[in-house]
Amino acid sequence: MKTERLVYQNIYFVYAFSLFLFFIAWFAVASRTTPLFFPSPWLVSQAFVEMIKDWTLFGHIQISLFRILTGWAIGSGLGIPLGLLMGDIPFIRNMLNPYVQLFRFIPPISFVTLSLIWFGMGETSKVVLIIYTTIFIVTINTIAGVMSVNSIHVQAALSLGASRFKIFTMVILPSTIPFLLTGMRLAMGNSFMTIVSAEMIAADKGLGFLIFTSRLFMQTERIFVGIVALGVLGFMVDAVFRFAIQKWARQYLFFFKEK
Amino acid sequence: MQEVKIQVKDLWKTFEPSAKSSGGTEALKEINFEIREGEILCLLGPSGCGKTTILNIVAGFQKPSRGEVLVNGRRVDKPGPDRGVIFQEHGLFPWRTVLQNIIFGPQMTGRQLQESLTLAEQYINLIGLSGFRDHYPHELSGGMQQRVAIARVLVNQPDILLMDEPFGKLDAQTRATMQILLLDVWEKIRPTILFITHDIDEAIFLGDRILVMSCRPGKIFREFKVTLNRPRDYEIVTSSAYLEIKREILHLLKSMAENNSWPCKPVKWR
Repeated sequence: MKTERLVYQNIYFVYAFSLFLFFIAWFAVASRTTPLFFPSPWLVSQAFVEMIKDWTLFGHIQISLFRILTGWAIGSGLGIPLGLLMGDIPFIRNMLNPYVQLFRFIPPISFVTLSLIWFGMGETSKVVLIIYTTIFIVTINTIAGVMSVNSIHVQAALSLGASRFKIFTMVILPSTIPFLLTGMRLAMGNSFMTIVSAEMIAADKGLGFLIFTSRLFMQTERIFVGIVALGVLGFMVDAVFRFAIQKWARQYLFFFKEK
Repeated sequence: MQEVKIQVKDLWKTFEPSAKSSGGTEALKEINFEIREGEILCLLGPSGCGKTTILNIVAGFQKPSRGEVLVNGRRVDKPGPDRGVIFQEHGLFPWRTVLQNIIFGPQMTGRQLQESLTLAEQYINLIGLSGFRDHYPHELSGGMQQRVAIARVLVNQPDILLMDEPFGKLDAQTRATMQILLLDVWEKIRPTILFITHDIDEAIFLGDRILVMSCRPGKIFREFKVTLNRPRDYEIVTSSAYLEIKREILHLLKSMAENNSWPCKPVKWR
């Protein structure tokens, strides 16, 4: 029997079709309101082209991305060792856990003004906020990873002659990798939230700033450009991260296929 | 008569009271036995009788409440590469390939990489894993995974193997193949083996001696000598000598069942 691949089974066709429907709906809604209230895709794309031409959009994206990536990298760099230590050493875990459990419920946005007072209007205050956003998510996921290390792996390593330190580096660390990567992906998403709110309150550049100031000039279509740029940017950063994981950390994800 | 390799002396193990059971659970009581060099000793007992606890104590993973285990005359206090452990779950590191899993031990004991690789190659061939060295554990069947686990332990050249129902999760065909493989390996390098199982046939087929355990508290109930000739092949299971031992063991288990010491009773009936 001949198996025919129907056109709606092609995933790219489905994506394109979905996008097509989305724009139809957008046009339909926009045509019933004023551009100030809800600009059409046509107006938004005009604004987009304009902002590309005068390089302003690129500037906003660049500065937001710089803040996010710097803060995220530093936050992960601090959160991973912290999580490993807390997961592996009960004394450190018990010492620090109350603070981690408390601070993780305080949204980074509530620290925006404090961060400005402490670190000034420059880049530091935003980067610090992203570090704050990242560190708890990464730490908590890393702790969870250390705590869920398969005890058979530890026993096997012990009876194969591994020292306490080798167990940490050769068994606990690799089995924690899927967890800390998940933590880093989640933290990246949250960093986007934080950066927008921080830039709305205190910045002279960045996507959050773009969205907030466009309001003052009644440029609703520019708000749309900023919003779409955030979505696309987040998607692209995550795609790059996923690609990197597949390329360099693939063997650690087999962990999940075991069970 | 070969010298005594492992001496288990007056071993008791009581587990601390937990939320589930009031009062400590007596897991092991007065365990005494010896394993001579190059001998295969099978511990036969129902699930929950404490046979894994004995292995864990010999391996050094757990401490006894009383008594001691001597290996080569020295008291066991921690795990070490002189006692290779093979678990029911293969326990392979999923992020390492077959070869990387096998060289783990030599890496830990400070051998050079080149030397480790040469050794690994030797055991990969012995266990029949050539062609799989770059596979990840999850890409292998249960039998192959257990082969890797055995090779990973053998590469450290331990003189003792502690095996905790290593073939318990395999299908009957694969289990038979693995038992023969194990005996082959044993013929070649003559390790001392403590083999834990709840399968009567497995115990007879592999063992020089069988210790039958009863439970709660886990005690050694009786010892059987298996006088079947070596090397053994699978046809032996139809021989009259084999059937004689099996009949004796079954008879014992039946009388134990009547005394409620096989299978293990739950701690609380209601």
